[in-house]
Formats: sequence, C-alpha cells, structure tokens
Amino acid sequence: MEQLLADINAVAGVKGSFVCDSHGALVAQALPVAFDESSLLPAARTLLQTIEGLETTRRRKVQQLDIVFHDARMVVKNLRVGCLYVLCARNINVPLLDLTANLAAKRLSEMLKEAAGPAVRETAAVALAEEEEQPAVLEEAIASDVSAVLLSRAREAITAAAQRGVCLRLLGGMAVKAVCHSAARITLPPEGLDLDFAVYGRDRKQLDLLMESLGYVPHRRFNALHGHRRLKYAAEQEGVALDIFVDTFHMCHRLPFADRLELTELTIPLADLLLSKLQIVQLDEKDLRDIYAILCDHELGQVGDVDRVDADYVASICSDDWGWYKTATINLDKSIDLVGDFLAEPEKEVFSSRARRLMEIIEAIPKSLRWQARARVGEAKRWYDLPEE
Amino acid sequence: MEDVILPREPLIRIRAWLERLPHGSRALSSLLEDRRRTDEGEFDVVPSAPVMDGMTTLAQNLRKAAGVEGAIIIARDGMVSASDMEDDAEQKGAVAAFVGSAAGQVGEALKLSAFDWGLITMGNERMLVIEQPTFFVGLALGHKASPALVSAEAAKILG
Repeated sequence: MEQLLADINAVAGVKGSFVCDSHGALVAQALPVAFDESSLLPAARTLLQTIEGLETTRRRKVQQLDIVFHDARMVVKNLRVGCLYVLCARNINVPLLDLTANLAAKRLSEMLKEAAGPAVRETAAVALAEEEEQPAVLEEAIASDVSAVLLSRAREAITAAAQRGVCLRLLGGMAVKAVCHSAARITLPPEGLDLDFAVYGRDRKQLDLLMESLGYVPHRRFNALHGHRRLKYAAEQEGVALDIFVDTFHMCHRLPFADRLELTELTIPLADLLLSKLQIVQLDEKDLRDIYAILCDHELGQVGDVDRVDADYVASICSDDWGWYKTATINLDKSIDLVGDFLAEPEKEVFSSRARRLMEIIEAIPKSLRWQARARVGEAKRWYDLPEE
Repeated sequence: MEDVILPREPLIRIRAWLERLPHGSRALSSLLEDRRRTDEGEFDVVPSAPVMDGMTTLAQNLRKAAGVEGAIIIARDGMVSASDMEDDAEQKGAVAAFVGSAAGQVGEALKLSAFDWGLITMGNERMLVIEQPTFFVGLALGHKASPALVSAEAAKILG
C-alpha cells in the first residue's frame, strides 16, 4: 500500500496521501510530519460519514469528493471498503492526478477487501455491481500514453506531407503538448484520439493522396460540402480522427494561415497557437490550461522570432478587428484572474507578467479605422461567430 | 409561506443514517435539529418575501453560468431558500448542506485554510458546493464543465 501511496505522492502538487478502512481506522499513510493521527482521523471519519450519508440519502454511490480550501485541497476516492485521501495543492491538475490515483484506488480497494475477509469482499462486490458507472481504470491508465501515440501519428503525417511538398502543421491541444515542456503537468490529458491540422487550400489534392497513402479514409460527404475550409479523415481501425483546417482557422474569429505555416516545422507558430486559444468565447478548462502552458514556457518575442510568442503578430490581429481584440483581452484578463487556481509559483508569476505585457502591447498598437468604427457599437452587437463543431 | 416547509421523508432517512453512525457529527446533528424545529414550527426561519425574491433571482443567475444545469441555495440549517433546478431540489439541497458542513469540519480538524468549494461525483451527476457566509450554493454541473471555472464565475455572480 505504501508503494501505491508513494506513486500518488509523486504526482506534481500532491503533498501526501493516506487510506482508512470502512471504520475510519488508518490503514496506510504517506504524509508530511505536520499531520498526525489525532488530526487525520476525525477528518477521515467525518468524510466517511458524509459519503455514507450521501449514499443513504441519494441512494447513489459517491465516487469522489474534491474539497478545495483557500490554499489546499483534499481529493477523497471512495474505495467501498474505506477511502483514499489525497492532500494536495489547491491548483493541482486533478484529471492528471486521476490517471495515477484511480489505478491506485482500484488496487487499494482489492487489498482492503482481501484484508477484511470474505464477508466484506462479498458486500463490496455487490456494491460495485450496483454502481451505474464504473471508472474505466484501464482506459485511464492507457490515457497517459495517448498523447505519445497521437504525437507520433502527427509527426508521421507532417513528415510524409513535407516529402510531397505539402505544408501540414499541427494545431490545437496536441500542438500545445508538442511545443510546451510543461504541458504534461499543466494541460489536461487528451479526451479522444483527435488531431487538428492546418493546411493551405492549394495543397488539397496532394493532401488527399497523402492521407490515402497513410491509411486515412476521407469523410466524403463532409469534405464534399465543406472541403474548401475544412477536411475530415479517420483511421478507422486505430480510431484516430483528423480535422484539417484549410487556409483559415475559423471558430469564434478568423485566423488566416497565409504565409504563416512555413515559419515552423511541426506546429503552427506559437503566436497563432496562442491566438487559436484566445479566440474562444466560452473558454473551458482545457483551453485555459493550454494558454497557461504556452505563456509559461515561451517568452514574448517580435516579428520572425519563431521560438517565442510573436507579440507583435498577436497585437496586429487584435488591432484590425475589434471583435478579436475584445475576445482576446477578455480571455487574457480571465486567465490572469484565475491563474492561482491552476498554477503555483514561480509559474504563476511568469505567466501573469507575460500575459500583462501582452495586454499592454495589444493596447498600445494603433487600431484600424474598421476597428474604431466597430468599437463605437461595442457589445450591443455580437462581436464573435458561433462555431459549428 | 407553506411552500418552503420541507417534506419529511428525506429528513427521516437522514436521521436514520445519523443514528447508525458511531461518531455522529455535531454539526450534522445540529443541522437536523434545526430542520426538525423548523418543520414543527418551533421557530420561523422563513425569510421575508423580498429576501426570497432576491434568492430566487440569484439562483436563476447562477443557473445561467456556462456549464451549470441547475442551481440551489440552501440556508446553513438545510432549508432550501431558492432553487432553479428541474428535479430533486430537496435532496440535492441536503447533499450540498452535508458536504458544506463536513468540509468545514475537515478543514478545522486538519488546520487547513477556509473552505472554498467542493465537488461531489455521484454516477454521472456532479454537484459543486460553494460556501457563503450565511448559506451554501449547490450547482449541478454539466458533463464537461470545469468546477474551477464555474466556481470563479459563481463568485462573480455572488459578489
């Protein structure tokens, strides 16, 4: 058990963990010295009682409690024959913790059942069978390798494309994982086997041949209707789906690729990658974490600086279109406001200073007449498009 | 006024559960006692009409936040003050009050800082519980909603 707790404690942001049986007795612990049994046990019992109470009242199984304090967090996993308690930093990446903790929880539960004897094993088995939804432990364990598989497929496609003279570049969450060393810690694990790419419209025919040679099947109906701006392919056996944006990334705002894809080799340039996240009107946690990873790992740069975020390019996009400016600055403000919930020092400070500097550059750049005319209308009229998925 | 009086059935079940526990928590006992006294008319905790209207508006505004599928406001004694939730408001209110009370005790026992918010996962349901000085807020979250982002949005709405 101690080894499983040590595995959990190795996750970034975890301070310690412990296990109690169904009577609230401490079974195993790996905690800092600041916590002793006299403080742990009342807390553990309160939570056990709460879970039991919730299950009695709601007649549903509680899988997890996640309790967030101003500067700490406790994640409690219900083992059916006790609980696993994980004490961590407030800003821990919970989905990332789950990859390790769910697997550990499954093994701890088996160990506790074994130790408790046949009667408890039977009760726990019934409780598990009654559950409406089982955590897909195997799936979670595999999830940590999904990024590596997807990145290898992306590299394979980009290399093959280059050999045919096609400029294919990765974008989206996997692009962030490819260029940000902190992404494994800051960003969320991939939700599916999806890859997003950018390509020029002039390369469409070559791209079709390329995808066929790589074993990807085109979504014929979608490509016939929308192929001038977006293409879809899938490797049916493997389940990898490709979404390829042609000439422009257009969701809430338009981000043109013209003369941009040649600047870098694997992904779209960092500034474009950041803009592809800043254009989202309803930012979710995944996108917010991607923004944190990009700006934590890369300094702001100027035109032609491909290893940095070209702040001048970001500002130029925002200076011509008030809608772009509005959404991007709202999201930068929001990301600065919420940084404490997702990053710890020193990354928190690094991100905040870069995001604030980027805001200053965006504000300082002269705005186009079109921008000024639209600014007069303001928020009275919708300033963004509603993306279709 | 009558519509804020709680049905007795969940209270009976909660009481039965509490009596079986070897370590009955004082806060939960007190919560149940307050609810019993309210049910039996020993004291009038029903807020005035303008306060109730304000609570209802607050619940409706919270419901509008991205990722929120239902909102409920529960007094610290477990009384549902306002709800904008399709079903089961009474039971979901009890869940929020339980978790809110328990989280406060855990923080105290472990000498952690003040409780901010909690997330309960029960099957496909996720409920976010946020503590306010005089009440708890329970928000039913959509499948993809981020509790951290929703709690930040709710904090703005709650002022």
